[in-house]
Amino acid sequence: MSIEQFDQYVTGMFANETVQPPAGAEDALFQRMNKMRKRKRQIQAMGAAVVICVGVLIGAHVAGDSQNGAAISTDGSRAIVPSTAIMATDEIEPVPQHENLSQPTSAAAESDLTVASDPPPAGNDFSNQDEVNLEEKRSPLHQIDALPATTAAYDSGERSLQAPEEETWVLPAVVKVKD
Amino acid sequence: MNSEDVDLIERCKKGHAQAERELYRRYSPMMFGVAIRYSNSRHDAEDIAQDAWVKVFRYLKSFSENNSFEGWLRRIVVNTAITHYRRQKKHTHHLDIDEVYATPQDLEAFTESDYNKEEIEKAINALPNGYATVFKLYVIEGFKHKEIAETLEIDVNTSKSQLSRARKALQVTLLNMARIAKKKG
Repeated sequence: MSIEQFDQYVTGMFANETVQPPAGAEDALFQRMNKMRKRKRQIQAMGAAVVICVGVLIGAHVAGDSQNGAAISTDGSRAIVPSTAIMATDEIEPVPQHENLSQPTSAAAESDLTVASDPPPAGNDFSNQDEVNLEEKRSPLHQIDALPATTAAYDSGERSLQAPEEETWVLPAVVKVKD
Repeated sequence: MNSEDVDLIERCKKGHAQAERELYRRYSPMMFGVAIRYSNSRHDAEDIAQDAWVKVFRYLKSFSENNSFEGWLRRIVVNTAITHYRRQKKHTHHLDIDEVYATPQDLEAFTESDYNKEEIEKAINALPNGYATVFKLYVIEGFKHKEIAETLEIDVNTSKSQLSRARKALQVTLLNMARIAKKKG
């Protein structure tokens, strides 16, 4: 028998050889597979949670940084507030400004509305009536300017001006009488 | 590969649990047969076959339908068995046995009708592990020397020389078995 014949003889013997696996092997395999897949899903979920947490932390950090240097106004735009101003407001007692400002502001708004509803002046000549209209247009601002200042700085200044009236100042004086 | 297998594999790739069980039932006898061939015990073969199946389902998405599915499965089992024994350091592929030469008279006397499958199997298992592995990979599984060299991490020439020695050793073993049987008879 040649080598090739021997090889073919052995190959033919073992070709399509099958052995039935033990009964519990199938269930054992699929239980193991399920455990592995479950663990994989858990790891993926944990990974996603970590990514979300990191994202939230970074977002909070960025938001914190922006709040230190900028205040967000009601219309969504950001107004930069100098840090010195923030420090100053901390020292000043809060003053209810809205009550004082509400009345003139509404009046100003009304006057604004009246001005806007006025018909435009005819012609190109700039008459006295136009000057009056301009004055009326300016008036809301003037009214605001004319309001009594109610800031803490003003209050403190007023208190310093009023202080001398309450105290009695005694100055040392030497009176010399000439003969 | 028939269309039924292609459909089954596609369903497995999509993660259908029932298809996976069907695939297992269809190919597990072949897989277990290969695992037993490369293991020292039935218990080891069970471990090897299970590990091989886990790999099959893990890497099934990378399998291309243009290739032989059965060949792919065989390779996975063989590689798993080799890795298993390499890890346990029970298996050595470098041989240290005495040279065995079959005489021309022995080869002439060797006829296929003298031996059945069990005797051949016994003779193969009596070979040193390295000889037996190369012989089984080449003759039974149909691996090329290059593939054997890659699988066992040996040189191609080493694979060729070990196969040649394995053949001779196997024939001598079989003749000795026949002589002993004759004496007993």
